Amino acid sequence: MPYNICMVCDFFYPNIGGVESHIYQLSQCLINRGHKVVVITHAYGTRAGIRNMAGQLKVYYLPLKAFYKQCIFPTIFNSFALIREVVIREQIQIIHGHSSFSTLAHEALFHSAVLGVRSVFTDHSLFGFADLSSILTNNVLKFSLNSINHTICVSNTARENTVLRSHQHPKHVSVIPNAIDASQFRPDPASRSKDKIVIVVMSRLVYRRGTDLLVDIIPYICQKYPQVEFLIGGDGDKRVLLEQIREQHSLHSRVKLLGMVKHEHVRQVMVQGHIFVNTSLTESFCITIVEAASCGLKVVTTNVGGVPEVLPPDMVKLASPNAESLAQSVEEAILEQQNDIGLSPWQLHDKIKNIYTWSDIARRTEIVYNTISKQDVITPQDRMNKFWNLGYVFGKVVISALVLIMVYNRILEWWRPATAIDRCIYTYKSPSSNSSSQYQESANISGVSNKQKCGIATADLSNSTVTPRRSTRLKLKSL
Amino acid sequence: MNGEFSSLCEDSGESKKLKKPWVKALYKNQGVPDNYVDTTFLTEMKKNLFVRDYDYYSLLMHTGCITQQIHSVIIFVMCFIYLNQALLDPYALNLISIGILCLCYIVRRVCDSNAFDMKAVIIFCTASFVLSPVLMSLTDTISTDTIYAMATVMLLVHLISHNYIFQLNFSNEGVVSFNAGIFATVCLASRLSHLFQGYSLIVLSVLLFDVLPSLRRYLKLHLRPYSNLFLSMSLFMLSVYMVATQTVTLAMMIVVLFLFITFICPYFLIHLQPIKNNLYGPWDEAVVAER
Repeated sequence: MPYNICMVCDFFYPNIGGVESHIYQLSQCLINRGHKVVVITHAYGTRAGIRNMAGQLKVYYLPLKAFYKQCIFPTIFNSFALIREVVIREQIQIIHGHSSFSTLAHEALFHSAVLGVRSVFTDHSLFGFADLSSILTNNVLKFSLNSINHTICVSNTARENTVLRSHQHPKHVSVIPNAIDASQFRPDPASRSKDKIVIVVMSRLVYRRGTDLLVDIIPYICQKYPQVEFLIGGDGDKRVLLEQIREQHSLHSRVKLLGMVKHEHVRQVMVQGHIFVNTSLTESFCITIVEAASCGLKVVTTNVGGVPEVLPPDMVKLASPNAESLAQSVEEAILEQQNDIGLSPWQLHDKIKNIYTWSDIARRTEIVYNTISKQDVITPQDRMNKFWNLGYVFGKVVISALVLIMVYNRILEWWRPATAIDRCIYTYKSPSSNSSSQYQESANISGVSNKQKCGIATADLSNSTVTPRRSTRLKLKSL
Repeated sequence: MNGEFSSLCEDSGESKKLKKPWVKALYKNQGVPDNYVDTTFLTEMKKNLFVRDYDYYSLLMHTGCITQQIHSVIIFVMCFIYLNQALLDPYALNLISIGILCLCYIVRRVCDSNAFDMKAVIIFCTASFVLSPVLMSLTDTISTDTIYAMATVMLLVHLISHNYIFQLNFSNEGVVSFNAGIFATVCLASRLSHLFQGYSLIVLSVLLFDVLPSLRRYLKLHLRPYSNLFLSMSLFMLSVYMVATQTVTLAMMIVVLFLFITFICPYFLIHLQPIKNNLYGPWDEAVVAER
């Protein structure tokens, strides 16, 4: 059954980044699977109003001002009338918010109960519990996530983190990783240097991305292996440190700093290298190492957050987040490269191509949609009951905000009745038959009898001991 | 498995049915729904890793760090009041201050060869002596109430930002605290009628807000807490006596405050420890060792 889905996030094109491309790719694949998707974000400069992107993806740039780091000012009330209008006009059934930093996403999830639509949230980031900013965000998140139908996290570690932060039942949180468009990241062994070993680093040069570790290992590696060169893409406040050690050890010819690399040029840089090094200190998924592996590079990374879950052990070298361990892993990778041990670039690419695909992500997201569409819509009353127990003082404040929104909704109902709002006409795409292996599988699943299909979805969230979905999978294999 | 989450896992039946045990990996299809909760869920979480067990007696000794600085501030304010009412001879105060300064210097010199720099103190004292005439007319246009309010706020800032950590190799931190103290001193000194009164107050503030804390820090580390106890008691008695000459009620309140900080606050700290709930896990940001 096709759904009318509304993706809400402060971060979207023309902004470029992980969350932005996640929303775009997921929306495109969901449209290909026969759903209708609109995106709501705030206005970017003169880019306001409705724009159409490729493949019938409609984007609403709401006339709200960005206030801090591309997020709108949190007022709750400001966005309500606009989101209500879009939800009615597009006959939205599911609101899908992205990123815990996005104010707009939290507000839309808050409105979802009043508007009577189901809600899903994808959390893209990890948080600690110690510093002030995470304590504040965690408090907002607790209220935001407890009143929605389902949450999606990008890795198992992120899921544990989200469950702890938001006090949810883990059954209401699914793990669906990120993906890449592997066709955009094909290896090109010809463009590699034959006599040199090039180590590529591609990250923002800031503390959280571990630039300090990189600064520690570069002189050591360069001294020990004269055939090694570094190619570093990205910019940030720690770039000065890299320039400094380049100066100190006269490594100008061997350490190249490229500055900011546009996303479309990332592959061009990556394919020049043999080894990719990621030094992040915290990461919930780390899509860059997947891109690097897809380009055929040997990956060396710090073992933090969700990183160890991402690549199979034969494709990655995990190091503890300290200079000694990282240097040791880089050395291992250099020796392997010299002696030609390990998977070839094309073998790496072929493996990645089958692990992370957007169509698979869309299929798994659709299972979440199927599940929640069988659940009841969370009513404002349910929410109030939850909020009452969640915070001694803040809970009551949030309840009053909810009551005010309900009153506001009534006023809008009278002023601009839902019947007076034009409904958008939309022609659903028939699920495309673009043959990738995932599509084949999904076609097979939809071929399974209706009764079983229902079983798949309900079993996902119930505590039953039998998982019909698994048996379906087995049956598929036997077919 | 942490107790509160153990009930959230799948029935063990399902995990037994899996051919291979579930692993925390995203790169392979393990034949379970995306919201499957394994028995390993949250096993990597650790609680209260860095909780220390305090004992009441040593905490009681350590409260000296806080009470001493509070009493220093009280003594400073009382000296200002005495000077303002001409109850205290500024020359005597100056002699006492410089005497104690020298004593501090000698004590440090005897115990520790690379002690603090007397030169800086001498330069500061001379410069402030030369510049003290400026003080007299500095805040003429500002009302006395504003000056007192500013001084109060600044002394509170001094107390809040003061560095109470007693560590070896302590670099000269607590800049905010010292500056706030000097700010308050300049405010108050500008209200005094005589030039030398203002100067003596400045020398006293250098003694109370910088030299004495660093000496206390040193003594505490090298001569065990008993020296600290002696200093605490003498500062306490001096401040209470000085306040009592002006108002007995306030002196009583200071005694109560002292007893509260010394005897009751450590008790609170110990009994609030079990409520601590710090969570650590793989999601925490790694810490890079200092180079």
